[in-house]
Amino acid sequence: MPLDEKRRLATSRRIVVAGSSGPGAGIAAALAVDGARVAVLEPAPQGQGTTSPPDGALHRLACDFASAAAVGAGVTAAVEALGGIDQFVYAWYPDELTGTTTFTDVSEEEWARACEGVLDAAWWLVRALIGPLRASGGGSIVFVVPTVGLTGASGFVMLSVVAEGLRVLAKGCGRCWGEDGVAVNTLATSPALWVAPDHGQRLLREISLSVPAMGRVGDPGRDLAPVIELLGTDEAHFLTAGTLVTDGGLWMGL
Amino acid sequence: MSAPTSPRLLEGKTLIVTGAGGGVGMGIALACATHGANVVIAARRVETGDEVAAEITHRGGNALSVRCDVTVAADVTAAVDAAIDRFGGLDCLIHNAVAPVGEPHKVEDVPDATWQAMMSTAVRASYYCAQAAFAQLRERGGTFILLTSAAGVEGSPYIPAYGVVKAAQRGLAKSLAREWGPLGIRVNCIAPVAMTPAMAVSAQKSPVFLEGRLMDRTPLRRIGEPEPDIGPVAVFLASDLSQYVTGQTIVVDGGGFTAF
Repeated sequence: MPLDEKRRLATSRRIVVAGSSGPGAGIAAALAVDGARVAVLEPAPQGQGTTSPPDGALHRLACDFASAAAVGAGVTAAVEALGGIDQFVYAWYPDELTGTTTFTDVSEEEWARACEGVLDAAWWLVRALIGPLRASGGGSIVFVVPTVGLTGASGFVMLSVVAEGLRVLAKGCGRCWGEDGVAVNTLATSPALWVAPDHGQRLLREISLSVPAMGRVGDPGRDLAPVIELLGTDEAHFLTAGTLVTDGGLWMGL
Repeated sequence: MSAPTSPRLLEGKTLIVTGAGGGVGMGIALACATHGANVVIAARRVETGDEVAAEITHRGGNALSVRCDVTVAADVTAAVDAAIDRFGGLDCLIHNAVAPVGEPHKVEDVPDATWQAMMSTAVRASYYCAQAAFAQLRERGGTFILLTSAAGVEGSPYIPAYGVVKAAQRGLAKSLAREWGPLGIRVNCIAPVAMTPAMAVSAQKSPVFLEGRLMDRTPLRRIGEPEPDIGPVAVFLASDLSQYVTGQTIVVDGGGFTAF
């Protein structure tokens, strides 16, 4: 890697929405290791304002995603912790979305809280982020979604609704903010990363008659984080509103 | 030689069309009735629903008007119950109703009320419709159809909230198609572009209309009409002609969107 690029990454400021474990956590950890300063917004009802001590380059901030005001406060706290923002990464889904449920067994409360709740939170997040990103002279937004929004998936209707909604939110934001220097893209990843292993294998069979061309479904830190880093570099400045399928070469419907 | 007679593709079937008091919903309702369907006109304003039902009856068809706010679960359930009571069952539910898209806005300027209205009429109401219709659709091998949009595929700089919720509906359709296919239920989407009274109002402020860009990108060089252009596609998806079609989005826009 050229020295200039190393310096640039070392000063990058990234906010990642991720849980304490799972693919989002792996992505956040890898981004911090690679030199960026990372603030992790961890969904935590009633946890607003709770901040863990920085773990190296990683700042953890609890954020209540249940209202626009709370989301705005979380974004403000993260931006202040980093001294600005260059990239935002969304990589979190509640357990209700990643666990299998037959649609007719989904209660209205679950639908509202988990399915609509994530779409609401993402909507509030991007609206809170555009000001700080403009103040930084532009930047990058990446939504990490499972490919179930592209393919559909039995037992994961809510996850599919959310994934496809986020993917088109990225396109709408990309269209609106391109002239501000803000690129917005989607990383479509293997559903096997997000759901329990037995369900993951079933979903892979549902998606394709083939197996992943790379022979594996991908590792968040090793396989996904580098692509997210790439999207945050100047080299990717002309790429916006795109869907990058990073599932190891399984779904090839585009 | 006599002209071929158009077959009545929906004879004996019963459908509910939400938002059928005008625009695309009305066009679909009229087209389905022409093909012999018993049509439940589910409209928030009962007077508009009554007018459509009267028009269908005037044409010799069967229709029932019910007041239905799709953001109220009890209203959606009542519409299904009305279909069963009046016509003996339900073969297809077409969820077309959606809140007005409002004036063009960037993401950060969309009023909160617009976002909430979009979510409730598209995402929550789709949940209500699918849940309420499921038992009948399973019993009768029925179909569930969602009206979505090319904006739900490619996003929109003018009506971004609309694009998000229409995409969410496509996600719902694809997964429900996989989940309900083994039960004999088909689920599809129609993504229309049609000139409706609501669209005509929006067009006064929309750059894509004012600058003629929508027409420029439409190979057929006209904006669709609800009954003759969009209605037949709904008839096809509701009929047995599409018995092997599920999980799909059919874009009916004169050829403007060609990415599929």
